[in-house]
Amino acid sequence: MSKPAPFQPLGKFEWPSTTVNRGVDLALSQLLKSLRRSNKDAGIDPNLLSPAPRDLLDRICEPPAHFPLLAEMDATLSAWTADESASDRVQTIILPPCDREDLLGQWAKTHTLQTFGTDRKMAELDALDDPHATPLVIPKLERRFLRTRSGLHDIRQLLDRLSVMERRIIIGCNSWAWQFLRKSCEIDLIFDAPMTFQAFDKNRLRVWLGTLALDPADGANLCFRSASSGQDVFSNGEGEADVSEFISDLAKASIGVPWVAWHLWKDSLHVANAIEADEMSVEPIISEADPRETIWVTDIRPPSVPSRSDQNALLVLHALLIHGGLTGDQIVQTVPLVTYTHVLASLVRSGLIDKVDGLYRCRPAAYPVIRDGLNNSGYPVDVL
Amino acid sequence: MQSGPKTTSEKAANLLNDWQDISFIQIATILLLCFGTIWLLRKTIPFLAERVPSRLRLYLLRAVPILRMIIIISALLWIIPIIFNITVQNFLVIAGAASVAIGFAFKDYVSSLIAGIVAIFERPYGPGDWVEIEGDYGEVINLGMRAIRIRTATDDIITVPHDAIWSNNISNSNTGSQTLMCVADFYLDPHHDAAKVRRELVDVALTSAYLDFRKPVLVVLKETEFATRYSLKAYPFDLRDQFKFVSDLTDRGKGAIRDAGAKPVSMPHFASEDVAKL
Repeated sequence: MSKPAPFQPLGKFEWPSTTVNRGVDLALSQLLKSLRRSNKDAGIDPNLLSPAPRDLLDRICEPPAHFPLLAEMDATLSAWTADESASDRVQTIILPPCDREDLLGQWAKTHTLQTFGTDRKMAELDALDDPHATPLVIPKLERRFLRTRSGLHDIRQLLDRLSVMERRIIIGCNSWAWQFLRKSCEIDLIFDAPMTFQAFDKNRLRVWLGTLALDPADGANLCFRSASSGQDVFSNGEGEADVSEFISDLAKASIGVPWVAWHLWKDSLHVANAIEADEMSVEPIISEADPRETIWVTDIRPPSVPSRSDQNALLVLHALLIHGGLTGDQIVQTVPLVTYTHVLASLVRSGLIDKVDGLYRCRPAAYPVIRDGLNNSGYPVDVL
Repeated sequence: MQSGPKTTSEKAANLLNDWQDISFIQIATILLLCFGTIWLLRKTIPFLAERVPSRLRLYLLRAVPILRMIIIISALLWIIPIIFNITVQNFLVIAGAASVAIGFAFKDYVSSLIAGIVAIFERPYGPGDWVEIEGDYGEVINLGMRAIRIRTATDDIITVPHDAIWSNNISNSNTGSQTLMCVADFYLDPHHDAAKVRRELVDVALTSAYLDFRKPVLVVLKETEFATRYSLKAYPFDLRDQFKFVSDLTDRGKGAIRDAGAKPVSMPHFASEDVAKL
């Protein structure tokens, strides 16, 4: 395993693809695939596949979706955390949205650092202001305000209090909320050295997913093959040039965000329906020389995003990205939905958002297309 | 009469080529191609412009008049030698005749055509811009050879000849950019805490879902005869949202003013019988 890559200053993120070249790439790759497709392909008809069963997924695609970043966060913050006399009093971690497992909160937990969660009241901060204590972790700043006038007053009060605290603090905020708070609260003037992780390009992704796919029960008895070409998605050697087409596409589609890649990867894993596969005589497509169990990896098919004409949907998606998640009532407060609308139901049905415990959130696998859609429609987007 | 091959001077004296030499089919084909291409461009480019990323929309729309001009000039350069016998002498004759015709009959029309060409280069307006000409405010939806068409906020289509640029002020709100300044005005009873109202109004703009983060937010106060006028100035991220943006600012601005303890003023209402008594 290579050494964990430390976080880097905000603005240095190397996007594996841009909105424009993602669109061009997708069109080109579909065209090439349809031209290349022939009877000699060792792929499989997608109609003969079913999503991988849950127990198998638990073995070969184990959460958390941000797993490799825990070590990278260690590499970034461990020395500072241990150094009580560090000159920087604040560390600011900016993460893309849809981090459902709370990377910073989890990291704080593993290091037994005190966290100031979204359920804690601001008045409790004074009692926690001990300059000699270990750093206080404040994850998910985006969940501490609403984009309303009163919401702005609340977050400004919190920022005022944090700016005068003597205790060392680690602040986590999502990249969309950070852009909003920069405009509305000049947050970058108080916390002036925000950091984010290095993009997960195709090489980093291949190493991580390759490790993840090693089934601890069966060792290396699984083979991950592309459903369209039949190629092993991990078997292309070690060099950069040898990363498979699927992993390369996945890096582009996930825009360098590991939890997005993890969800897209998980959604793409399928197994052949035994009976139907038998009836359709698909045995020849599995190499007789390879006795391993085959997991079929289907092409990435992200949901489509509404166009500018469906502005209610875009406004809701933008608000959800800024806040990380909102209840129906909070959406009404932050989004100017002046007409009677069923936009939330429509967004859930389209697979762009989901609703868990009353909270609407963007689905991680849909985040790249949502970002592209908002960017194309002129909405202010995040900077990493 | 002596007949035989014409000399060069005789040929030059002929303004038009021989009828037998003029290929009307060729001219018709060129015209058909020219107008067909223009028609296709006028249909496809605006169609594409609504589907590409919004930052490219105005670039695409602005390409229509430039491409049309190039096509028309190319067609003219192609057709003229087919019809006319072009020499310096003939050019002067044609120019003289054209000047007389234009001077008497088509002065305004040609003035508009020339202004249209000037407008392409000077760019006082372009497709997709929001302009005000002679009191009419709207989006330029078509930049033709002779005139522009503006769609107003009330969905009226107004045709303004290009020669309006010779004598009228053209107010362009965005001049080719994606956004424009929007202003929401509030008139308040002068007895209030102005600093508080100002802060609240800034927050109204900062929390609008339509706000362009890259642009500033400003509140301008002015004391008028009857009220204190607050102008909340901000930019939406897409100029097509300007009316929704102003409505959003006005709607939430009223709440902010109320919360800040200020009171809006309005023109007193007089019943018609009261007015009659006065």
